[in-house]
Amino acid sequence: MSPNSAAPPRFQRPSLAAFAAWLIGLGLIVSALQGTGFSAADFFAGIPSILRMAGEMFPPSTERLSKVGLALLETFHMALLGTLAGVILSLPLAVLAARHLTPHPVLYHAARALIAFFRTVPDLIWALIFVIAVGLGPFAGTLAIMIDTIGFCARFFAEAMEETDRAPQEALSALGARRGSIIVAAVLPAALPSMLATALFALEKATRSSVVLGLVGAGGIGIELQVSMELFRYAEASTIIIAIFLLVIAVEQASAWLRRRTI
Amino acid sequence: MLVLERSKQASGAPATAPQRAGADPVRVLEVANAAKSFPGGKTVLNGVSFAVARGDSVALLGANGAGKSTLLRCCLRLIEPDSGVFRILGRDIGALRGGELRALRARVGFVFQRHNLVPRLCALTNVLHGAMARGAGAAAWFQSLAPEKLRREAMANLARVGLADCALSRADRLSGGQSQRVAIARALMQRAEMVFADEPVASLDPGAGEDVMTLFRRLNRDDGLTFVFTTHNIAHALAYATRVVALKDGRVAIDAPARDLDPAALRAFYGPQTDVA
Repeated sequence: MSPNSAAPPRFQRPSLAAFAAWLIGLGLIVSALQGTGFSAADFFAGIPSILRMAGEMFPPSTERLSKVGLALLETFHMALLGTLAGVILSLPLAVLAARHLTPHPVLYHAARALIAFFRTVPDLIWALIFVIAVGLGPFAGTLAIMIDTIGFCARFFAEAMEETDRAPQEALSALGARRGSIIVAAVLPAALPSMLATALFALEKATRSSVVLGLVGAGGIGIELQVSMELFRYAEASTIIIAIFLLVIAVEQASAWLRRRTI
Repeated sequence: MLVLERSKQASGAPATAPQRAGADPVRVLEVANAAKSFPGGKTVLNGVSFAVARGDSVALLGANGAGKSTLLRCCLRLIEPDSGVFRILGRDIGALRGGELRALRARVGFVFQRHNLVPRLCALTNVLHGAMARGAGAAAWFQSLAPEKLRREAMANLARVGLADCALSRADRLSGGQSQRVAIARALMQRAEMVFADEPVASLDPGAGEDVMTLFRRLNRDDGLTFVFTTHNIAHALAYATRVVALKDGRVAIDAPARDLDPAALRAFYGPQTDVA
């Protein structure tokens, strides 16, 4: 055996920076465990309460079914209209935010910054803002979903436009077409399948978030759920939860079916 | 006889006058001292000069990377040349901006090697797009929204290339030959006075390629459409062009009437790998 074939050391001595990074990471985890009161004992102690609640949830109450149905419809209305408005407004913004379509680099960066801003502020905060602006009710929630959808869709629309095959666009440009015509007649048809998939994902996302928006008074079924829980009417709450579950599943199935059809 | 000297195209008149009686021998394309290098220092065009008369059918020959496609694209400023003058239909395209540039491009059809149709739209809509050249705007976006007059004209152009029965077929479901003929119909919809074709049959099988070249010849002979095409195929150049311009090392090496050229000598000029199908 030659002296060179000795096995290498299992571990290498970390650099000072790496050592410090490990130390900081560990410190953060320890402080998070203390800060959140993370405790397995408390969790297991809470299990009987969950079971008691679950027991009271069955059978689900059918007493206020029509009211729950209306609230659910309102939730879906918010999701549908908010997504639709968001998708429509995303289109011009995405054109500005697509590198090869933007009329000017300043507009490109402004559009990207606006989209990033819409995306980073959570929808619950948009809902709080719009409740102050237009009052309690589903319109505030619809506006919140619209802004949230723009943050999501405009970014992916812009990327879908950037990824389109440039050859047909070059052909229209070669025959003297205007930029607007090239976008409508060559870019949008090519980006359509990807954009439709994004819009349907946005609708699914909006359906889920429109449930929560009710908690801040922005309309929808969330407020019904909150009231039922606070009054300990668990049988009623379970009806609402099942209704939400069915709505989300239905929207997901419908959007998956639509996506398969568009190639 | 192989004509290798460049004195011909330097001397005033175009190398070949149109053969048809009564044709206007006006130059519709004049390129002078075209130069283009790409990043990385590759010089593709290095002082190319030639001219095309109205009604001509000109084949641009040259090995891969000889600058044929670059030259055609520079003529419409789809690629910006480094220097040189490109006069299209009497106007210096390098001096034009915005609307004037679009108006000049509108008068020249461009047929691409990969056809460049919008894939998810139907053949009729793709033909209709040619009307954008004439400022049709939104009326030319989609066949379903177009006014009846434009639809009829697009249909007539589709019929001219023999595809009236494919009007509503999606462009990405057509065969290669059909799809290239739709691209030609789009150029006809422009009412172009001149058509540039960049290796128009390179992506087609030989039969479809002959169909497309025959269509071009018919449009050139019967409708007086000036036709400039690039090709690797020496047989095509000699059969379908009235004049051959060959590029080598970024310059014009041959500029002569097709009937004066000897296929064997052309093959020798190209080297042994040349496709002579």
